[in-house]
Amino acid sequence: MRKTLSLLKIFVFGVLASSLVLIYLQGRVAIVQEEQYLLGTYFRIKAQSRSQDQAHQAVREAFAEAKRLAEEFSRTGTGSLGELNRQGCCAAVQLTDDVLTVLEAAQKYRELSDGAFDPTIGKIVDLWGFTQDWDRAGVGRIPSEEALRPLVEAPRNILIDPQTKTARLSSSAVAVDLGGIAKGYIVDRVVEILKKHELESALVDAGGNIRVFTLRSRRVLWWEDRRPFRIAVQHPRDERKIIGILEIWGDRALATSGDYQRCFFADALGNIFPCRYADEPDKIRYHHIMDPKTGKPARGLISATIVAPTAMEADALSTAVFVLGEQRGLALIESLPDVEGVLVTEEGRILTSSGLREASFPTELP
Amino acid sequence: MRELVRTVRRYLTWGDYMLIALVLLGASATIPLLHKNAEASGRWAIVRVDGQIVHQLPLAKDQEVTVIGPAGETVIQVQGGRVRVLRSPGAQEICMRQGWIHKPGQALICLPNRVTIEIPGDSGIDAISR
Repeated sequence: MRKTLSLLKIFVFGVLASSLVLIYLQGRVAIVQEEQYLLGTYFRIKAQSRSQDQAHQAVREAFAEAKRLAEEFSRTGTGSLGELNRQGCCAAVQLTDDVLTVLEAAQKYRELSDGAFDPTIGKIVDLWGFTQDWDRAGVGRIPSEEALRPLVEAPRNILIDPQTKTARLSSSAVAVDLGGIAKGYIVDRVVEILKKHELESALVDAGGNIRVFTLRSRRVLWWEDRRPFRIAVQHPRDERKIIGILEIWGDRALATSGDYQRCFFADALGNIFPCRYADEPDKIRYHHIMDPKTGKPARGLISATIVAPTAMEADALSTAVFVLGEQRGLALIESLPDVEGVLVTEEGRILTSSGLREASFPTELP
Repeated sequence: MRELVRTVRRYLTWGDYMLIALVLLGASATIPLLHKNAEASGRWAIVRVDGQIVHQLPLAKDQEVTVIGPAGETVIQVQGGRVRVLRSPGAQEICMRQGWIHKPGQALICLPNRVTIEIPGDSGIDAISR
């Protein structure tokens, strides 16, 4: 009897120990994070999965797709967008499905924003020196009125034929620049690929163009990290600071347009100085977000952050809202479902849309 | 079944109960630790060029390290448990202006030279929209 009982005791302890080990293994979540230099920025993907292999596979496939699309959307690259710009005015160019989709979306946002978002101003942006290899030079130039006027006044259109999947440019004043929307599209495509794998959650960050998702339908054990994604909004005048944190559950995207991202300063004598977050005394800041109506950097806001269901929407709307300014920008945000925003004005006031009232943002730049 | 429970109860001593309770308590206390990669957190600076790790610098050791990126040399300084970028090509100088970092989750990004310096760990912030 005693012997059986002591065996029983060992058995009970054994079951207890092995079930603990099983719980450990079950609860373990693998995190895979990788970053690559793409689209002139750091492209970071972080995937969480119960299976390390699954997460690795997902991230690998995601980067392969991001690389393919980066070439596709390069203004000067070998993709169909590069071809459209090389052809210049009036010849129809065959487009890939990706480029066609984004061109059509760009047209949609152009109408929605009353022309504040405009994919046809590539030549105007070039004139200011904010070209693709801007990062190396770090400075631009102020174009003359004579050079700017014909580009601003010419009707600029992209004529898309969805049947034949072709497009042509309406005049030689047009160069297509999808810089304000393509990155968002690529992030969305990457997220689509990640979602096909059995991930718990993932974060895609293309230099501040962010989309996250958490699959909440899965049963979550009590000790697991169930915190939301916490995304900070950059302080537009200090690279070491943030102005607030947004807590994101589920599937959301964020993008910020700011006058500190690509800029230069000019003094009264016309000397040019490199871009800085902080303002420079006695110098004027010129930045890369052009008001299509004037061909000059948009004034009024210094940063516009948009939270939206997709990264493409957030990307395009952050540019549009930045150009539209405080009142019309906020009105646009409020008119769209599931879209929120944080705006910073030239005077340093911080405005949040109605859905972000609970988020703890200060009303003035700290 | 009741017979079995009664026998087991009679047989298990006070010490056994304590032991079971201790094992359970100890195990549940360590579970959350499993979900943090505690080893690297806050004690190293990971230097990457073009996404590839080129250095893992212990923050406890003061030193200067130079890495070569596509735009030139980036000089990284570790001192007193903190790390900063002393020199890096690029007119905007963002990574130099960010100054010292020392907390887990902080990072310096020298974009033109494709150099990143990261202190692994959880800062509570997953990304910055900029």
